[in-house]
Amino acid sequence: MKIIISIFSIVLILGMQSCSPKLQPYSGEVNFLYKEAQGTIAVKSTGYGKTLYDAVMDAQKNAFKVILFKGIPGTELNVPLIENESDAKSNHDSYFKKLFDQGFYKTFMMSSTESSNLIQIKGGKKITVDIKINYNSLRKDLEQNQVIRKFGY
Amino acid sequence: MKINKRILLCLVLINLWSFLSFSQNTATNSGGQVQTVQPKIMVIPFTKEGEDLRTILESNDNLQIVIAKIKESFDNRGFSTVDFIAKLKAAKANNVFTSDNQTDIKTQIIQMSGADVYVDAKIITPPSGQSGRSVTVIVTAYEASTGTSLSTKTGESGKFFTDDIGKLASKAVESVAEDFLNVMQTKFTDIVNNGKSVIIDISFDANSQYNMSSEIGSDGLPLSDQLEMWMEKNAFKNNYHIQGTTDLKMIFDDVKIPLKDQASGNNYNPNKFALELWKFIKGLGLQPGKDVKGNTIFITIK
Repeated sequence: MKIIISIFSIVLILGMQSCSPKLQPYSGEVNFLYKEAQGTIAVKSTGYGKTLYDAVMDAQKNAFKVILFKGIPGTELNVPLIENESDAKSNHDSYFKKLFDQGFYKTFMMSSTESSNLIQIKGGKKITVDIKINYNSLRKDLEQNQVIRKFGY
Repeated sequence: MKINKRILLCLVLINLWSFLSFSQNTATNSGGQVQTVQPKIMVIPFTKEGEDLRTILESNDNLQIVIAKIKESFDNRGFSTVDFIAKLKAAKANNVFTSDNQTDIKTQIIQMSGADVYVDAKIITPPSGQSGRSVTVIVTAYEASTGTSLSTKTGESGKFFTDDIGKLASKAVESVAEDFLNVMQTKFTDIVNNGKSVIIDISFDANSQYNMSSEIGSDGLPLSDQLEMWMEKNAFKNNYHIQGTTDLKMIFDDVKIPLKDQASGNNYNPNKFALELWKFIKGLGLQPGKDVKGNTIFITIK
């Protein structure tokens, strides 16, 4: 009987953990490169993965996550596009699944160039990618999907 | 029994009358949809003491470029601003300006426009040096009612060998416009979550027999304490600040009210809050008069 209760408790705890919204850690190694036109920004982003493809994808997603949730000091995006990361993720789960898991973020990416060789590190590979993002249209998309408010109240 | 029926009939008629008088016109019925009333924002030039607001703008093309550029930044974010020049012309046509004092003219334009937020723009053009010429722009947004700063940024054009000050001014605005609006938006979020500020000025008519120390109401408390207790209950999230109380005046210089009626979800405004306060004072057996100018509520007790 004790064993059954223990198994049931473990299953319950694991189940509760999987239901709660999680904040996936991501690298903050995203640095400002330059700004060409109004509403665009170029950043240098570092990504990690087991293959070249995985590492580049990780770098691209990191760049977007930092712009969305953290902001880049000393730039026009000093303040992140989304003010509360955990609230936005729990309230707009499907939007972020589409953005990152289905690769919709690429529609806001104007260019992506690998700027370093693939470096072998413990447990995987690392790469640096220069990415240019159209954050103006990204913000409009966030507004249209009501992830963020339009300017004003 | 007959009397009861008559009373019932009267109640039904009163209800029907109130329903008809406050029911929505079918032409404007939106099916319960509520669109949040947006703040009115106006971009104006910075003036030093004694400077004429009109001649400053009309004589300085570069300042006009700065103002146009800031307005353009708002437009790019899908937000329309109140046109200062149009308001200035209207004010001139209506002979709004009654004083030579520049501060007064600025205040009068802001009040006349009904702007909730005004953006002050200043341009600094140092003389051309050996390494070129640059322009600095200082942009500050203020909440009109309380004077609280919502965002302030200093934009630099960088040094160029050019005499085109307008172009440099544009570059200076572009360098900070986005960040300036983003900071403003975080302050707006705070207003959405924690309410907007109104000022409440409560005073007495010259012939009034009451003052703030008058003991009134069923519990016989001084009027100023009755007012504070009401404010404690009715300010949004219990957030209010008293600037000061004298026997003849009580000023709440920052009282938060919600943007939306918390019960109905409809838009809420200072006028509705003023009405609630008016009802409370009336309930105390006093004769209040109310006046609402923008986000300032004036209550005068007779």
